[in-house]
Amino acid sequence: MNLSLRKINAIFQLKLQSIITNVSIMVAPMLAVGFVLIMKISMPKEVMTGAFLLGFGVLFNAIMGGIMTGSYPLAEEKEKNTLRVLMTSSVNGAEFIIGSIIPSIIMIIIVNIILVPIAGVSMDKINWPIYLIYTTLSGFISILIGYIIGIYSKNQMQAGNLSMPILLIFTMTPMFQMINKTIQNIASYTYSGTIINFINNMLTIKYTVDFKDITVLMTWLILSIIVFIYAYSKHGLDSE
Amino acid sequence: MTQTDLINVQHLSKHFKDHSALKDLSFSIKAGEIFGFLGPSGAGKTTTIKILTGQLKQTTGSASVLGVPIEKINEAIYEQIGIVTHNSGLYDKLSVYKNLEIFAKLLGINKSRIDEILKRVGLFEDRNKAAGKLSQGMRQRLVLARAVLHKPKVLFLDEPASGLDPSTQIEIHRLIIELKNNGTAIFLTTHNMEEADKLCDHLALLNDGKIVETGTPRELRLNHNKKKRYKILLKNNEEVTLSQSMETTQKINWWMTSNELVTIHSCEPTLETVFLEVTGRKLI
Repeated sequence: MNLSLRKINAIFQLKLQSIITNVSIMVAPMLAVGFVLIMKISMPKEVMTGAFLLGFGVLFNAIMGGIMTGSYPLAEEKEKNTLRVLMTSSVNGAEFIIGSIIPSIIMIIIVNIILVPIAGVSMDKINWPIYLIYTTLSGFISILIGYIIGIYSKNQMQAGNLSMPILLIFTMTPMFQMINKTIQNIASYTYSGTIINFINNMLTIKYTVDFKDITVLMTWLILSIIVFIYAYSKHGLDSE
Repeated sequence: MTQTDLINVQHLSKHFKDHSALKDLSFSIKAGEIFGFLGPSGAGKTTTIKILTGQLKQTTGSASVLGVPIEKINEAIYEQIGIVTHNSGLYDKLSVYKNLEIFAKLLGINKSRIDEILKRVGLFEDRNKAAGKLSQGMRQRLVLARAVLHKPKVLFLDEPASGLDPSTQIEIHRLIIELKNNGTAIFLTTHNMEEADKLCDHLALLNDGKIVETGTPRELRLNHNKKKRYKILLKNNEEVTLSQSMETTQKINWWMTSNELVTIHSCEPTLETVFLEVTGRKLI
């Protein structure tokens, strides 16, 4: 399959505009920043620690935002019959996916960086290389999960219905892990739980790269790539 | 396949689980020719376009577009073909201009061509308007503009003027004829017999996935003009319809000589009548 930089760039510009103008996609990063800001201002500092706020924000942005930026635009393209037009205008699947993922990833990275000062965390407390790699990787996994949802959805409503339980599992499990040991154990094997634990450890104790964290993230990455390739090869982006 | 055949179809069939959508279709289309598929809804017109544009696989038979067998169609061929369907989507939040700009970038086309085509379809004044705010007729003109932005060699039009007001239909027909005159091979599907009659060089009547008759619109009408009749308007406002006979010839001769005859029209069947005669069903 040939890749044309010109076409990838055209899709990138199109997707950037479509993400920015789609309220249902922008709600995740806006909520991430907004909630963190409101909680920081309105709740006592003892409860709303920097680690909690940053973890909360990253969950909203990279996990929820990632899944939504993957699923909604693809479902919207199908719903409005524009995906078929693109695919019959000399764009191949790989060019479409690469051009679509780049603006989503950039948005996730920017918001993940902005969240640090908004959560009131000192910039020098962040292990930036690992923070960026882990959060970007989790955003990428979320986008792939979003694409899988998008492949199986015919419209945005269906994408929303399919996304909701998955969003709840990945965002709520790490949030409620302090309630009991079983949830904590389950959360440690999810990519979202790994991110929360990493942020907690980074900001409370000195974080050293953990084999289990890397294994969990890589397993989720490989799994999501395999399922995505299976779904794509079986149904294409816009199957009959 | 001759050298100028841009589309060639041989014994093409498509079976879905419970029915046959297309049965043994064969036809070819040359450069600068409009080939029409005339048939009612569900006859297999859109399925044919989907197969010829690589969006659907045929069950049996073979076809090629621009010399490329349809099994080997990939994204490269879309740089030379344009597709307009009745549900071709637009990016509603983007302006008219931006909608074309995306495709100009994708296809590596100079931006000056955007203004040129917008002027041609009468949307230049509305170039900054959001596509979502366009009327149905304007949307269809924009879809057509996008399909011909890259000056395709082959154009697939699936009911391009369906549901449009008469003036927009005329405008779209004018554009289609202009494209044909510039050498584009056009595959047009329609259930509108007037559209087919006006635009098409060759027609295939499609019923239940099968071509039941082919020819030029005139050939089709004349071949089925078995009972030759003439509708005559006389000076006294009397309207008479007469079959061809020696008596009719004499009557017409007399009315013409005595200056009684105001109008005279032959009553060859319309394409709709031909379709009804051949298939036993209407073109709806």
